Amino acid sequence: MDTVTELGRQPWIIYHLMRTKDAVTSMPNVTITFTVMTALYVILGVLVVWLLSRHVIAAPERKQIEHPEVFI
Amino acid sequence: MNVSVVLAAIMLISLVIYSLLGGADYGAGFWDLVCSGPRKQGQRDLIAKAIQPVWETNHIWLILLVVLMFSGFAPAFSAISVALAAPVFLILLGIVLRGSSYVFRAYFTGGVRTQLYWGKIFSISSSLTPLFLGIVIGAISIDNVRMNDGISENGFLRAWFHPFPLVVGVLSLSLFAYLSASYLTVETDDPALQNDFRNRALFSGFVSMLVAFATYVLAGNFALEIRNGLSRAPYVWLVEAGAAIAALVAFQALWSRSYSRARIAAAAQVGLIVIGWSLAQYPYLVRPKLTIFNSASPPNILVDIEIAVALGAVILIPSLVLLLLIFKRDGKSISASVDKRCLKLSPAENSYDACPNF
Repeated sequence: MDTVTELGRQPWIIYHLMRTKDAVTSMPNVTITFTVMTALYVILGVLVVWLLSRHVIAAPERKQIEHPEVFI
Repeated sequence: MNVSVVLAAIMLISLVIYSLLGGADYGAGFWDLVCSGPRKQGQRDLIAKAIQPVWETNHIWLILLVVLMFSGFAPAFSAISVALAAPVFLILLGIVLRGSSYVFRAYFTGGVRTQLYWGKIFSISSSLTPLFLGIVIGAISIDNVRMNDGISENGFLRAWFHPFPLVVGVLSLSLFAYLSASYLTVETDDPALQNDFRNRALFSGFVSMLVAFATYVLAGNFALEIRNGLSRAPYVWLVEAGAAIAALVAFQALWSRSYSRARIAAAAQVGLIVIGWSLAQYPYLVRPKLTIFNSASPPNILVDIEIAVALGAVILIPSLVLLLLIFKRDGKSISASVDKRCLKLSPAENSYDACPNF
């Protein structure tokens, strides 16, 4: 239980001091911000894996610049 | 000296440094959005090269500010994160999007169209984030953020969607754009590119003065306390006079193309404006109720935080100086004489040895 820092201490957000349900923001529509951020990080995660696969996993000759006009 | 004042001063220092470094990053993104003319590509390259070594590092000052606020002044942090949740969320979204799209643009070498698309995300989110940063600053300067038992009395829109915070948002964007254009003149020795950003610095500097005037006028209607704060004590006048002198020096230097001087003067001007605001805001963190005294953690906690900051600074400051010395000492991100082909290489490519610059 000690090793599970996030789940192991539930339902406390601060152990034996404050419950998670008492700590949550009073702002309505938390689901909107939660959904937007989760979706964003899923998309960014997929993109990172894809870009890394192009640069690291791909064969060396594919690493050459594919179009000379791209910038940076 | 009171420990709350010391911690607030540390937060002010990190806010000033964030404005001078991170602010210029946002401004660079704004100029990326409005690149135009025959040297459009050169301008984009210059912006990308100039912020490449520092765009991540600059945000540690915002992180420091946030951490000090929630550990040192928790009620104020709580009021901001609840009542101003919408602009704070948009700031977070903007920072994540601008950073990731900047990196994706640099590492995706498959085609120009996709790069331009990433570039658009980078520049639009860079331009919107300072608006919301300014909105937060404006909202805590007027009396709209009112918390009662963890509930925002003005809801989640009226707490900040109001003429004064909105104008402060525009003011921060224009100041950051001005700062960034002044810095970019020093980042190249190509006279044509220097001239492009000189004209932009003069234009955005002029716009920021108009917006600053509008802010002052609006403050008479909506933020009288902060306006009175600006004329409260002689040392506030001193800071304001300093900002005005720095502005004149910066404009004269830009006009006469003394770019190194313009950069220092523009930075001094923006820094003094932030300090002037904080003195007018003193002792409040979030008007109308929360001050640095009534929202502070117990003194022993504040002392511990200050010791931790001092220890962190011993590591952080030399590392930052080293970073800036390595990447910014010669001051030129793009030199007029460098083989243009070198500018087109992604940092991920292995062909650095072809370029004298690396």
